[in-house]
Amino acid sequence: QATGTDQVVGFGLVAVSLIIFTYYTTWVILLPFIDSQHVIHKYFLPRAYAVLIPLATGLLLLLFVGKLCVHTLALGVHLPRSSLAPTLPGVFLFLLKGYKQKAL
Amino acid sequence: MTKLAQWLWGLALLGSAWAALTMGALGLELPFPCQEVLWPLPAYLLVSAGCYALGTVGYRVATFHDCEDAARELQSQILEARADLARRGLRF
Repeated sequence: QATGTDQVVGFGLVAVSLIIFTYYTTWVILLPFIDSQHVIHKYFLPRAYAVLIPLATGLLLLLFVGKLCVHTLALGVHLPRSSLAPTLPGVFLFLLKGYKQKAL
Repeated sequence: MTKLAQWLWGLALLGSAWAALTMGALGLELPFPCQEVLWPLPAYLLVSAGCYALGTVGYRVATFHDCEDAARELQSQILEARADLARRGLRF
């Protein structure tokens, strides 16, 4: 059995994804078939936002992922290295991989 | 054909079909509600895929089976090992 916070966070994520999915499906798929005078249209933004908002969110997410990558890589650059010896196993495996590819 | 090539092929086919239909290149008169549903379709599919991924991750986090006994046993073994190694002179 999963413990406390795990269940809260997990089912919270499920709930959020279901809410987003149903709202978005209603917006994109159902609304065009509903008479434009119906009151339900009041709860939804103009149709163009159905593409603009996900696009903007996607770009923001990419921005954050990119920043995280740069930050993580920059962490490793300034570490001083006393000798090349610890890197030798890695170099050896890399060369071995190259020879194996060539043999194929 | 590699998986990547297959995916790209599929995307190219579906993408061109969608583009042809939205721009009216095929010359068929779709009813207006269908047109309204068609043009945001790629965005809709992406958002649904994202929601599915998020929901699956959340569900698996919520239903993951923790082994509390094994966790406690492991922690005590770690402490034991650290004490042993410290006794033998390894500095942490």
